[in-house]
Amino acid sequence: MGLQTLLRTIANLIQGNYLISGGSEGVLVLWQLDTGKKDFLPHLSASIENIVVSPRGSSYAVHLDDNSTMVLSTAEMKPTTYVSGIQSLSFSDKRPKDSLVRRVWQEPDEISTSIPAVSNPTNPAQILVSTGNGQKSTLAEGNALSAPYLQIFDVESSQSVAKQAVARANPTDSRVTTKGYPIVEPTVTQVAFSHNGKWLATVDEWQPPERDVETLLDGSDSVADICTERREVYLKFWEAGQGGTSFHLVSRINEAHYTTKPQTVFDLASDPSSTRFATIGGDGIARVWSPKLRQTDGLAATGPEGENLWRWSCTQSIHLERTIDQEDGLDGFRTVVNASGALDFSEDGSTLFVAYGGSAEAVVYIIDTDSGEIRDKLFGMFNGDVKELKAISSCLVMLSDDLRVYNVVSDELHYGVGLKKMFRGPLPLLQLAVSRQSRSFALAVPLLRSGESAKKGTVSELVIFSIDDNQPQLVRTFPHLITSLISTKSSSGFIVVDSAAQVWSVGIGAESSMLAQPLADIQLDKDVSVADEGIPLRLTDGDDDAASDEEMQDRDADEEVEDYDIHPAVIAPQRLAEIFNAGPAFAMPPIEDIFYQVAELLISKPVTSSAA
Amino acid sequence: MALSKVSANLVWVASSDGRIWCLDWTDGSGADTPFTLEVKKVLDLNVSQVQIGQTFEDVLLILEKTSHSGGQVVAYDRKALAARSGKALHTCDDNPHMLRSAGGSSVIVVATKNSVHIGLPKHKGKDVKALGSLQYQFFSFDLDDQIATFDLRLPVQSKKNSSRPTIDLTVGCARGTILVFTDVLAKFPSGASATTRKGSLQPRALHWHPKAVHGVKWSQDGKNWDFKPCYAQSLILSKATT
Repeated sequence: MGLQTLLRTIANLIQGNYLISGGSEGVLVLWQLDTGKKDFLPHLSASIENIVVSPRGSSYAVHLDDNSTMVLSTAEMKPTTYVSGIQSLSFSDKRPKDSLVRRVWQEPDEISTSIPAVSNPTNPAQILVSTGNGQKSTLAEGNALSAPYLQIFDVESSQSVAKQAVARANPTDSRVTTKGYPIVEPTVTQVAFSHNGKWLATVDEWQPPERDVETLLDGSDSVADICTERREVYLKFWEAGQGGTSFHLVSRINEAHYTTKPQTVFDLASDPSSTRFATIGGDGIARVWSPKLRQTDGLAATGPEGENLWRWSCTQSIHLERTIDQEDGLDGFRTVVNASGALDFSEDGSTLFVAYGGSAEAVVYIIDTDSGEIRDKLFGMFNGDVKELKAISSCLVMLSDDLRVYNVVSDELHYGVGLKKMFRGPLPLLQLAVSRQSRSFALAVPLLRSGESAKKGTVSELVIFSIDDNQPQLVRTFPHLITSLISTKSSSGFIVVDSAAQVWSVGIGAESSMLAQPLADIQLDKDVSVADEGIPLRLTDGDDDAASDEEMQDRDADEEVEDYDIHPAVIAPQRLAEIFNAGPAFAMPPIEDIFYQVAELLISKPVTSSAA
Repeated sequence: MALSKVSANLVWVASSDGRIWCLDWTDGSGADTPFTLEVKKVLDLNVSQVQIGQTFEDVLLILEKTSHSGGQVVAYDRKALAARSGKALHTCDDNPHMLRSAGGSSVIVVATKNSVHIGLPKHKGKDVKALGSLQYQFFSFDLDDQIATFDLRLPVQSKKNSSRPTIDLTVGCARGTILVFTDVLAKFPSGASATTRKGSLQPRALHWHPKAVHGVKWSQDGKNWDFKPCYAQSLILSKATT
């Protein structure tokens, strides 16, 4: 018997009497059962959804709720592999385990705002999507998202490239306040690239949630006022690093628009012909921002490697609501209640179109960008809040509760469409993206009845109009809610991201299809010896089950992939880039051609290397 | 979703609507030809390797929803999937939501809202002629908290008591507690299927997580894994000396 016990103890030692656990805190806990000792691996990027131990026990695979998976070695607790799909907001298939018990704060189950996203003009395969610390903490505060990061996502390989913090983020803090509410982080509200892709402008906003300011109530202000007074709005300009995988902060503008309190930046537009941005905010001022060489003592300042240093500043501010004939004779600005606004540059950058005003009385100002003078005003173009304004050649596409396409040169309305009537319901999450190349624009609208909010199961409709015709060119219902609609600079198509973390491409002459699928079918990923690409494709290409997979044992499979005999051919990434970055996926040559081009690289390479 | 135990290239994927795919993840084949089961909802899937007749086969254990709060464990092999009728092994109410098996289906564990059902085979390991002859006896016990997740392992078995395997079970609860049951079956009377009420089992409770435990797993520490070859060697040595 004594021997039996001894054997059992040894067996326990060999088997390792350890437990590993994780939860929404983003901390992996290793319990040593014999001694009661705990080890922690804190500060993972999101809530831990599931853990799998590899068959031989040498690694852990951790599934995080930001659509990513990390493989850690058990001995050192260091990550060996990280795979991530697109981390935009999505609806989970399963009821969150935290809500099994009723808590102070219940996770919202609806998406109330669209997700800012933009396509990189220098690399059409890359999109930047605003994201937070995992799904649950992104949805932390009903209407405002906590999304201080931008994820750089490659839609062709369906791989996450990088994640960049663009606002104050608390990845190392506990995500819950002492009262049990989630900590609200800033959210990126606007993001735009300069025309050449060298600069990125972002706007992030934060305000305390109403529950946190109740102690400040003194009867003179309402809760909402106290919150908006404490709002933080930052306009930031970033310089793109090599390969577009990182951005360096160049200038931060605190409260770009300010009256007696910080004002929301309604819209951010990039000049399509030169390096400058324009913003419109709640103060009724349109501002134009340009870079300047930074100077010290009259000499151009340079960085450690001799590169020029830049500084962004406001070069023009155009006051829109100027009322000179006030009784007291002073220049004053009429305060506008419930203002909304939008703006865009004309294609040659000579004119700035700004829509601004209170509900139902918004005016379009046509501004000469050289002089900053208001050349003309257009009245009565909006019905309700200004949602979007975009310029395509000589036309303005204006979006409120109505859609209006107006030609500014001939001064005539091309057409108007009542959207509420068209979609038979309210219009939250209405999105617009324009393609200047094909002179068309796309609208994404969730199909909701009045009073409904966008929850799981909500479908969206995508409608594409040409500026010349009020009959849509394409009407397509998507099986999920569309969270982002992105236009690409180099093609006439659009990229759609939906609430099931799927990326769709919509283009002329091509059937709307998932971008990564054809590549998966012909296994290019294997041929170019990026061995572990096959799995992320499945994680993100929308197979509901794969994405929501609970057991996630394919991670173990992933490890096996690494043991594979890797094809000896070595291909310079730029050679592949030449083939794959010829255009965005929807404008690509037939997949067969691409396959042969890649195959050629693989066949010819050993020959050249032996010659060398 | 689970890896096939028979071939490392195959992955079984179940969708809640009753479609079951057997995918070859190396080339993506099988994605277009799912099996379809007529069930209300598939709650969980587990794959184990069972010797049926002469060959080892993947047996899918599927937790199916049968009514508002009830569910049953049904075993399928490929033939049964094609015929859409499997062998029902166990029925339980009270919202079953998770199913795991270990040791080539020598143990099946089902977690409901707040109870654990442990199934042991009635049939003898090697004489399974067909899927229909699989039979299990289930034990169950209740917990104080809602079950969020669990894991089980079969530590090295002592040969004496081979009819009753030693099962270590760990349960992650919705309020953050982790319960550890060592040799969970020791307290159950052998013989007929039994239900034990809470209290008679004395699990060890570990509490660190402030919220629900999303995942818990038994682990072998890396260092101890290095141990293993040494152990094997020393065994051989001791054989040589005796």
